[in-house]
Amino acid sequence: MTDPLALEPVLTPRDHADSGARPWNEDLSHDERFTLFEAHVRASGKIEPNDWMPDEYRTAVLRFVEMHANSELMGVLPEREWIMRAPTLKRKLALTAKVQDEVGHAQLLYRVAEDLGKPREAMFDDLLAGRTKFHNVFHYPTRTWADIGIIAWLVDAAAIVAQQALRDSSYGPYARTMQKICWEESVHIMHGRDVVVTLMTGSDTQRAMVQEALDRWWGPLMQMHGPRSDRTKDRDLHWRIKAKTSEELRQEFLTIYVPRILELGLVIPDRELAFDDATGEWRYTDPDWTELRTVVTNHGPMSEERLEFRRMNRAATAWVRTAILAEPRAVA
Amino acid sequence: MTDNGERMIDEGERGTDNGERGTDNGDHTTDNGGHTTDNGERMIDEGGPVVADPGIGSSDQPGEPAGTLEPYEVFRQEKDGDPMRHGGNVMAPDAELALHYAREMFSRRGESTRLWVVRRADIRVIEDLDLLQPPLDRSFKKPGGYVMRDKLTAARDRAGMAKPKARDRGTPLV
Repeated sequence: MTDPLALEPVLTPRDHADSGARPWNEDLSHDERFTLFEAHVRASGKIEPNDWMPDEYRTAVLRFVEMHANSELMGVLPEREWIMRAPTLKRKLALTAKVQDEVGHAQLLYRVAEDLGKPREAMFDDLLAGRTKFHNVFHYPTRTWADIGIIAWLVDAAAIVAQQALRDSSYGPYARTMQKICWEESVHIMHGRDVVVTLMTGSDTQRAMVQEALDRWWGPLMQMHGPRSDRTKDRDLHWRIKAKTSEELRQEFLTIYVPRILELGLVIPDRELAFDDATGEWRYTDPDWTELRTVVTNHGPMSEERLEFRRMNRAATAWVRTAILAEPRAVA
Repeated sequence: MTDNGERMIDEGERGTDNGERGTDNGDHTTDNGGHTTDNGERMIDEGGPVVADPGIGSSDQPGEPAGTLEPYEVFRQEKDGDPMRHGGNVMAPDAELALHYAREMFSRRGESTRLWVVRRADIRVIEDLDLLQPPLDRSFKKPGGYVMRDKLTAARDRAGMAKPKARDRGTPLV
């Protein structure tokens, strides 16, 4: 046992820099604060909502989180279409729970964005007017039950690759929210994989249905993370709002999921797809970036229909928002 | 990396240990802008209550006074005996709905044993380090602040006593 009396005192002078204090105090000029803020973020420091932050940082985080929130909200619509058609009660319950989770994620993320200064109503206005975007994969139709499996498994898998990298975002509330979200998303992936694996043990028609769904979804999946970008020019990386480039995320997705797709006897619809031992990277046919740009600007096959559903839904539920804000009234 | 994939999912599945821990890895209990009062106590600025948009489509109850939504902070206990930790926040028009929303958002999977739901405006924050960690010698408040090895040796010398051996209970009293 250590003799407590033999211990030397550990009394270093208080170092506020180590204990979360912000060096960019109000006495400094804007440029000095900016420099100190930047150094803090570059050194993996976290930012909290009540910290001073440069406008560029605030708007970049807001834009990023808002797009994410929009995607969670719009992302439930393709799946919602299959709740009533789910093949068993268990699948129906799981799908309903997934839809509830995704709307819950939208709630959490809109809260993060609201605290950065943009009211929720303004975010809805922008989304419904097409001024802000949501992810490309939610602009496509869900034709068969196999689509539900492919979405829950592979679209969520591609998303979680990106989301896990966000658990270390420099913006504290976003990073913490992503930890909760990733935990819930992992269940969705299991649900989706279970749907796909079950179909792949079924009839030839069912197996063909999965292959057909994969054929349609592969393009959007490969586009989902976006074109290759220059790491040095990406401001979201600079501010450590996100941690990885789009190509890093796509490579990670391929590394994990290509073997799992192939082991089921599915064929990936890209003859160029192969792992290049020399470069240590996957080679693949360049995704159709024109399609990506077309789709995310709300010119996808289902863009207008899904936005219109949200508009209708917002109008139809307006009375709820009014009701919860009304003064309590005695019931006669 | 192939094996890694399975781990990604496992990571999530151990959620109570992973996703949940994350909800409070900052020590900040509030997520909002604030202003500092004279005494360094930081009051939380609610950022202005959000007045609900009456919405698209007309209200069935014209003339109904519109209330406001405001943030409530949610603290959760993961299992009995654990400390309460910040989980996140919800927007609600009153405390009762805030409780319902909090239950739905933070224990939908039965991942909490207790929730505290607090109006953000009611939280008072101090985060001025000049107050919390004043740059003074506070060593007298800590065990490590008392170093008596040399003095103890001097005291023994003066008393003509040897250093007691380990487990030596001393001479029994007669």
